[in-house]
Amino acid sequence: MRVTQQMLNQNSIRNMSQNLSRFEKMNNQVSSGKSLHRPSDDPNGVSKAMNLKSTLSANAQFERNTNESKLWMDETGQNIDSMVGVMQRVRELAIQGNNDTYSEIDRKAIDAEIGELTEQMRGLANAKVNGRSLFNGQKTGESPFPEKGNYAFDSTDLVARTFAIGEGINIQASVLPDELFGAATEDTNIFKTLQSISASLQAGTSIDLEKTDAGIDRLLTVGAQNGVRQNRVEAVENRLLDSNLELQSMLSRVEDVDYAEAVIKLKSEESIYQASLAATAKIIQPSLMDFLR
Amino acid sequence: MVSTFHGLELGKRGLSVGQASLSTTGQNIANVNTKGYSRQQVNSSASPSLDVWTNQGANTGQLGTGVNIDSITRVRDRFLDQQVRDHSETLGQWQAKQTTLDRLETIVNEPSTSGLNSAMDALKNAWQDLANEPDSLAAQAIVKERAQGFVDVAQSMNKSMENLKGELTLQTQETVAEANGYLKQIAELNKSIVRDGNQSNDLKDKRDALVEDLSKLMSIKVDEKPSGSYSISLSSNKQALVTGEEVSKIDVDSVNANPKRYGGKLAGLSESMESAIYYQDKLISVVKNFAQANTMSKTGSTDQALFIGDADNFNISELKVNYAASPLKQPAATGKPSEDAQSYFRELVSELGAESQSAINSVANHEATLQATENRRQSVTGVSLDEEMANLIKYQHSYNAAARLVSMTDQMLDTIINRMAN
Repeated sequence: MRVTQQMLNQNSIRNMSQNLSRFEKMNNQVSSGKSLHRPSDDPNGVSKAMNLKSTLSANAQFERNTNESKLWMDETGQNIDSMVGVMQRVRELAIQGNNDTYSEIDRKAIDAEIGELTEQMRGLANAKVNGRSLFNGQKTGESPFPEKGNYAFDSTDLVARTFAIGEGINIQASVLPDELFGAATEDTNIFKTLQSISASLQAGTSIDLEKTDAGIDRLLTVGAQNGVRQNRVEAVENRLLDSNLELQSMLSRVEDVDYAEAVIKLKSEESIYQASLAATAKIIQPSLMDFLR
Repeated sequence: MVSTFHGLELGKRGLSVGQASLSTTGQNIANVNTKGYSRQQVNSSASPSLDVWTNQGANTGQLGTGVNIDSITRVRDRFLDQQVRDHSETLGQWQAKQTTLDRLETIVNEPSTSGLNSAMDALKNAWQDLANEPDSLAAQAIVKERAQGFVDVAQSMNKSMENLKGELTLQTQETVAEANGYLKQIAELNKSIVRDGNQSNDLKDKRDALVEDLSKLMSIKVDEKPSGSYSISLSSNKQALVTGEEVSKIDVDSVNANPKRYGGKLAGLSESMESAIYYQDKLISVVKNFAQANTMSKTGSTDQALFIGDADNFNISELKVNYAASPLKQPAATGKPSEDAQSYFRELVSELGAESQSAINSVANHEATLQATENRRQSVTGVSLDEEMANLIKYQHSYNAAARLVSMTDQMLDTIINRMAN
């Protein structure tokens, strides 16, 4: 095989440029820390990475939803506790009011306090979180009982707030006034009960404690349900955090560079490139001309 | 009987062959890096001898009369030429295709945090924020902005693909024009070569270089006629392109009608066009499915759909966000249909990736085979400086020796003419 000048040139240049482009690719991987830059780097891996990123992005949203729903449930629980406290005080006063030894003046004083407590109840029912009503389902812009003394609550088409806290897992995070206080038409509706206590005190008749007890029971039941839902959200949240870690590490396996390996490869590509430069410099220089005198 | 001046003539012939050899060596050295140049050599042979009388009786002696130049030819291998042309043609086809797929990968721009996939994710999350607070105007506005973001990305991708298709059309036209240019030049060279006789080495080299350039663009068959002219035809259907000085030009329409027939870069460009159209169609159906999954209507005035677009006659560039919609209609089943669109998009990306990967590999393989064939050919026809240097020394000595013969004959004649009579 004759070896000619153009052959030497072409082959050297081609080999050098191939080495340089491999060197550059490796350098790109090390400096970016990612092994996937284009679909052709690893068609399968790229599709996997895209899928993982979508799932991670959905999970980030679920996390925001769980946080929001936890806040909402915490506030709900605390408000229900305060309501139970108010109703306990109402019950004490009702028992006192049923005392025959109490005079007209005393009963008036009790009635005044019941009035205050009713207001307090209304205030609690209108509680807001970040300026949004807690006990008005999805209509968070409005309060359930905006006017004093008007407790005829319209519960038509009121839906509880629900949050998606996982793929296909929806959780109810709010409590509707009908569940909490009883429907406006019901006998045991808390505000009706309070008003009837007040009426009995003014009329001097005996107060029916059973309705008060039924109201308190209802509050406690709803509070307990809320607590159970809180536990469920926490369990789901822990699962979310676990799966996030898992997904992150999978994504990293798919698209991140293994630095140790990449740096060693980079070094070897570098030395190969330098060797090809040195070899080319040696082979291109001399010809017979240098030795003819 | 040998003639008196026989030695002078002998020396002169030696000198002139030496000179021609030195010039040819010079020509080779000068063209060491000329593209398509093949080395030349002086073919010389001993000139017809004279009969001289000897005392062998009936047999006469043969006296040499020196040397003649028969021809100066180029060293070339026609079979290797044909191989190089075949490989160039395949490489040209793959290179055109690979360039286009590379462009498409850049347009699709995945994996990234600013591509279509991220835009779809962002819109999905915005819907959930809105579901958490259906009354919130801010959440509504964010859904619309995210939708606009999705439309922007989809439209810029679509536009880039449109541009790519336009460029490919233009490239096909330019390539056809380039091929016709080569055909014309080859025909002109045919004319010059036939006129100058069959020994015009440098013109032939030039013509071979042109034929090689042409073979990158299409698949051709070359026949050398005894007169030295090339007849060039398409290798698929024997359609004549150049016969002697006659050129039958190719035109864009017939290339577009039957690109496979032409092969080379022309076929590669048409396959590129097919790829661009295929991936654009896929992109359109991804965008359409996703927009429909997130509610789309034709006018957007009556129902509170998020997108305005015509489902029957879908066009990405006409997709708009329905800013007037309030309150927005939540998509029916969140997650599922838009999930489908996303997985369809992922499918598109991996399909493109796989195709591009195989194109990259094919280009690398064909480059390597072409390089190997080119090396084999260079080994036959290329100029080796070392060899030329050695030849230079060889011819220099033979020239000097021939000159020496002349001066020696001169001295002999001097003896005979000037000194014998005295």
